[in-house]
Amino acid sequence: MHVSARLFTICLVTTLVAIVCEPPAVNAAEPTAASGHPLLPAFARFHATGDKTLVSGGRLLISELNCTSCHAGGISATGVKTKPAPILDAVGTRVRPEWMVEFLTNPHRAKPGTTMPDLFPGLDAQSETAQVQALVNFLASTGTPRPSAPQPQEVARGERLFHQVGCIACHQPRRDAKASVLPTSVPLGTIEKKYTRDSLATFLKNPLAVRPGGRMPSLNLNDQESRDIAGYFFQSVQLPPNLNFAYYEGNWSKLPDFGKLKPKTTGKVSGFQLGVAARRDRFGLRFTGFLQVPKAGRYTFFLGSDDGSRLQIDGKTVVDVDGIHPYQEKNAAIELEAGPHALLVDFFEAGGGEVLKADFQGPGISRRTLSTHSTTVARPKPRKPAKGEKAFVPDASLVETGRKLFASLGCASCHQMKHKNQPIKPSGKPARALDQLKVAGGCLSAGLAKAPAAGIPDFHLSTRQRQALALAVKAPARPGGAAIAARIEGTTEAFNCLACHSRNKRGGVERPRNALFATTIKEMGDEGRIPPLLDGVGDKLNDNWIKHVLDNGANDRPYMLTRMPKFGTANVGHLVKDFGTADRIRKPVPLAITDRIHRVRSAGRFLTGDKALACIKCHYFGSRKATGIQSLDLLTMTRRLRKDWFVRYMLDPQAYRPGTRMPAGWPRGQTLLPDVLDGEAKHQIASVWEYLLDGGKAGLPRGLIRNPIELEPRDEPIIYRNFITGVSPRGIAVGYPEKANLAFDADQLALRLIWHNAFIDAAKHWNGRGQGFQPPLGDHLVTLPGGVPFASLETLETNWPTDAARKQGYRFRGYRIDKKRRPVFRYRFGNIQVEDDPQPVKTDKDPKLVRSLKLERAGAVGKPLWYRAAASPTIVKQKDGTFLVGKILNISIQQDGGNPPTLRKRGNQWELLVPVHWKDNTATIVHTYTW
Amino acid sequence: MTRSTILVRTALTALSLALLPAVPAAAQDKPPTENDFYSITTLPIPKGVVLEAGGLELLPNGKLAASSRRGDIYLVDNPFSEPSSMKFTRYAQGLHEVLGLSWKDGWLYATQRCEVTRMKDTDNDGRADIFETVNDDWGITGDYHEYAFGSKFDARGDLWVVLCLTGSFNSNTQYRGWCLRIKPDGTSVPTCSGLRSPGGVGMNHLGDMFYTDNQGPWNGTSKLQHLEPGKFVGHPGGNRWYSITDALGKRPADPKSGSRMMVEAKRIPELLPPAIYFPYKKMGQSASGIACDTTGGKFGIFKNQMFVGDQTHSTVMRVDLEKVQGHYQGACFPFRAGFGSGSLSLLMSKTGSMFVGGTNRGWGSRGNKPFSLQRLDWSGKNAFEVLTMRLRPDGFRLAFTEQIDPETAAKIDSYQLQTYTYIYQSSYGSPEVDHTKPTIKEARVSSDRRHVDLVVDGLKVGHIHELHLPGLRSADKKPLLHQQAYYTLNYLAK
Repeated sequence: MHVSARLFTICLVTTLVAIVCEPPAVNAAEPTAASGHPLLPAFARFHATGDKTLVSGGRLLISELNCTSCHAGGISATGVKTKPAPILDAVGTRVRPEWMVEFLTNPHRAKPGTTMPDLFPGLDAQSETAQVQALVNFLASTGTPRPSAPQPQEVARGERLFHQVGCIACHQPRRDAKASVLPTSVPLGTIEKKYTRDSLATFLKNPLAVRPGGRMPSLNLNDQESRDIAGYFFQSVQLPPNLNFAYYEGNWSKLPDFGKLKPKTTGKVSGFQLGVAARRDRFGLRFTGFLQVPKAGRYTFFLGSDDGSRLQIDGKTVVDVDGIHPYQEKNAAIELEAGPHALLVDFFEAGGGEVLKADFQGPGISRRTLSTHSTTVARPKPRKPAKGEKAFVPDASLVETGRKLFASLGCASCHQMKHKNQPIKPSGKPARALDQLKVAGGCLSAGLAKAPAAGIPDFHLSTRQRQALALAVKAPARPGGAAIAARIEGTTEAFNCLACHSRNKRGGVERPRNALFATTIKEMGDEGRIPPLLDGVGDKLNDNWIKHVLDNGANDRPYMLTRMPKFGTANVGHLVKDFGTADRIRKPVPLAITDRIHRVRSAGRFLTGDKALACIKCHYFGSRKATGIQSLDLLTMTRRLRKDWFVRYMLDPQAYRPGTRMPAGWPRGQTLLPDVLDGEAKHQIASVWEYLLDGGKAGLPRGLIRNPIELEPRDEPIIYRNFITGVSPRGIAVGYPEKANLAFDADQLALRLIWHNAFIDAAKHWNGRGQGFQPPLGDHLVTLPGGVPFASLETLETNWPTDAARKQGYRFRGYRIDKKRRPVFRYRFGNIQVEDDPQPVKTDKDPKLVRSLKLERAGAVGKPLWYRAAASPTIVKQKDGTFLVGKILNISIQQDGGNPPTLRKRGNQWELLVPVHWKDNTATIVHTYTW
Repeated sequence: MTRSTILVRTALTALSLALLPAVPAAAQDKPPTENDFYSITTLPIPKGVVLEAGGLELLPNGKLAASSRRGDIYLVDNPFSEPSSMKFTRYAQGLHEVLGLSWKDGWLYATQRCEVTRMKDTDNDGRADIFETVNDDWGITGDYHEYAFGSKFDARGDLWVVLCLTGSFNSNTQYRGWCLRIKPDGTSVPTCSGLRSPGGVGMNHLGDMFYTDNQGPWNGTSKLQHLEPGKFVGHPGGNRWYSITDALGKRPADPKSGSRMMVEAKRIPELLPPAIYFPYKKMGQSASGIACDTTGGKFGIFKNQMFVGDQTHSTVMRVDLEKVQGHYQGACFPFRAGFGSGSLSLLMSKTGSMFVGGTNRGWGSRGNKPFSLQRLDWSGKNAFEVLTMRLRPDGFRLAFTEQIDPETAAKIDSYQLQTYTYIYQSSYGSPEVDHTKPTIKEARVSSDRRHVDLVVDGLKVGHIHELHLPGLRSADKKPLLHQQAYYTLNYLAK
């Protein structure tokens, strides 16, 4: 090779992208910003007329034009984070050099409305060209953007996403070519000249990586979405062919030798396109070309196909996935010299679906399709540039000059750019501090373009912008609360929050953009499509959630197609505290609930279910869909909201969200269900909160599961032997008409679960194949410890044995049914037979369980035998001699004779141990569970 | 036709005319159907009861016990009578998917997913009140696929349990993919490895135990498999449990995926090939319950033959086995279609009625009822069928249920024979592969006109020999009711 491999690649790749057809019709709607002044949506919307807010407008300009990066300090900062210029560390991988030349030569012409100043207003054309060439050579030395062309379906999806996910809140909608350009549309310039489709997609995936200031926030696009939206802008790009193909027809079960067959057609193609085949089954393709390897090194090749394929480099097979199969991928690595290498990919399809993917990766090249580096001939001629564009010819000798200019011209004042891992520091004469400025000359000079002054950047400011800046530079800071309000206002303007949200009757979706805010559930009306008000947001949301949303964006309203983007708390973090200070109501709703927490949660569960307020008819519950419209997930409420606000909101939804479809569950603050808890509305609302806070562990709300098969014990118990959540697969659940229920574990010989009210829903196991574990249906679920019930302990210091019951000699023996048709479980260990006899007993409150363990020994039992009645992080002996286990369960123990139960702590657990007292050869331990 | 056969036929015709409703004259010209020989009676499961019968047993008191996938056991009074005089009562509830019922010494034994349980009604109120765990030596993980099917008691008093793998490929807890024998004392003996997804287990007339397994990994198509103690029956997924028992000796070598059954059987001495392959879609798709005609003629002419359900096709298939070189192999034939749901459990009564329980929950079936319980009764007439297809050193010997027309029977063109096999592989199922077309050189009709010897050039070891007999006629010129037979040839006759 005559030129270096690196430069060769630059030539190659930039010429590849250069073939841009005439801009499509939609581009006619591109903002022209004829005036060419820096376009800030909030300035255009709130400060373009009138004198009242001109100072605020000036402050906005100071932060958005990044004045303080040159004019250090002193200014009465509003607290709005200044917008830093894009990071240019790898700008060469992102931006095409041809465009850099155009932009640096005249930014206001190349991208009308840009906030980038013209750096050379005083320079003669020849010097300017030389400096621009040097700068661009330096910038382009950081990499080359990768070209690719989108598929039609990607363009179609990109068009939809662009108009749907939120881009058009700030940018001009592109569907209607004739629509007038809105003065608040942030200009995009000729985006298809600036980027390649791939580099734009990379940028869209994470805009904050190169524009950390967050004015272009991240919409949390995934790979495909970013590529689709980028593809929308590059729909008319046609890449030159980079592969030769030969097409064959035939019925093969393995790759034939295509060299010996006569192709039906041959031609050139861009990428490994199976679309060149005339039919979808029984065909073969041979792709040939040259892989232009930029740098010697080890390259990994990935070949995947349905059906078979084979990849050869320089005549040698590298990856082979031959044969008939569903999509299957293999890879292999080989060493390659720099320069062209013969490339051959054979493929055949027998029947069904067809896929072919041929990727590679290597030194400095992340995994991508081989066709990005393939050509149809070994040494392609450089192509002619597109109409109206001069091809950029790199000149390595200018790079160093460019780097020095970057420091001296002031680029480095605004842009982060690293050289040898060190940020380049500005080397020019420092500008005067902001508060020292005479507010007439310099950047603020009128008509800079006509009467240029060397060394002064030309922002192309409008008269009004100059006036606003002059006022703001001299304005005093605001004190206290006013400062907080001003800071919130400043930030919501600078970050254009007000494009979507309204606060204090300012902002909100602009009328011409309104129709593009869409929803998947039309019957939810505006609530389903327009982002929520920011009035009182600090009262409504808790600090953690505000921070979470600012840092991550949000998509908690699945029906709303516009997404809340991610701005980053590095940029807008002060809002967390400021919203709280400004909005939060200081006098909380007094709440005092006296009932036990499990009853409170059960009440909340009842209230959300379809027998009460039926919240689940309109709200998701975790991953489970609502039965009606699909509104916000109930389980996110306690994560997002403040409890105090939640209670007030429930009492009067309209006061907080005027026009909301959320019905008042407690109209005029009164309950419709006086029997729940104490009948107090606030307590009932708080019980819903407690239930949701617990994540629904108290059980799913009734009515959420469609077509349940609820087993309801009426006259006698029902046994349900199946997979029960919280029990081994050998679970035996028993539901009693008394409405105390249990699950016995025939593997561990332990009573594992007890609960009240409804028994179980058999639908999971009795529909379809019956996969999965089913939790109890009722309330007040208590989980009792697993592990064996009895053990001989050397001393009270000996740990309770943990081996499986079976290993310790326990064997389940089944059960007998007593006169009331209640099962009595039986098992044995060693020479001891046990009957475990639980009996439900009705009380005036919830029913209790009286459980007797009857032991019978066939001979002497050596060591003292202990029964473990409970194990829990807390067990507290009560005054009446009973034990409170955890928060809910009360156990009392009776044994005829013998020593009383002992409490001991092992590790983090308390254990309640009962010494088994033999009378002749039997022993009986009775416990009562109340909960 | 001899005088005596004329007499018998006349008598039978008279009998069937007496038994069946009067048939319009024109209808008698229609070709006979399966229903003319074996009729289906639907047992009246009460409204509101979901009885997906997974296990069936006749009790000494004459009642039929039917266990359900939902864990109930119902007793049916007068199961042999008209449906209107039958009565269903619930004997037990709350068991875990019972797929096997067997009576012994006053106890009803049920094979549940988790254990073998025996139960008894001690207070004579018609409901069981003692449930004793007989054996629970196998593991369950909570995967729906881990079914357990239980047999009737064999001559030694053992109950055989066949255990599905965890899913199609793995054995995640002990003895999944094994057959355990439960001895009268309640202990278990590991008996065979290599099971995948059983659909039923039952004995032939000699008391040898068989089970059915379904198409999937290492099973190219559904099969009927002899459970010879000590053998590995094909799916290596459960072979890790050789590490916890010496009952079967050392772990056999793993089969090579992509090979053929008889190639691997030569290499792996423990590997026992299937007695019957049921060609996929041609015979069925999900082989299930097993019954054997030990009634000595009360169920018709198929004495000592076996019957196997197919869940997907809602059918019962017929199997005739012989022993060749010491191994069971033989032919399967279509027998009876049209059951209400997916045939699952089969039970032959001593009096010659076959009960068929059906379900299509989780797996679809041609019979469109979600569940059904039916009785199949012989009408007293025998259809013109291939009675047996047996291997000879130079071909096959066919026996027929009645005398054949010597002219069509001797014509080679009356028969079509092809062979194929399945790939023995770790991935799911297999297409038919390695097709051949052997030559039928001669069709020799026996002097009693009950048999034909086909002299075949090109018998293939390890292949299914699919025989069609479109041209063959009975002595009175009837075509066969079912014209297909599929012989699984693992070993050549010497």
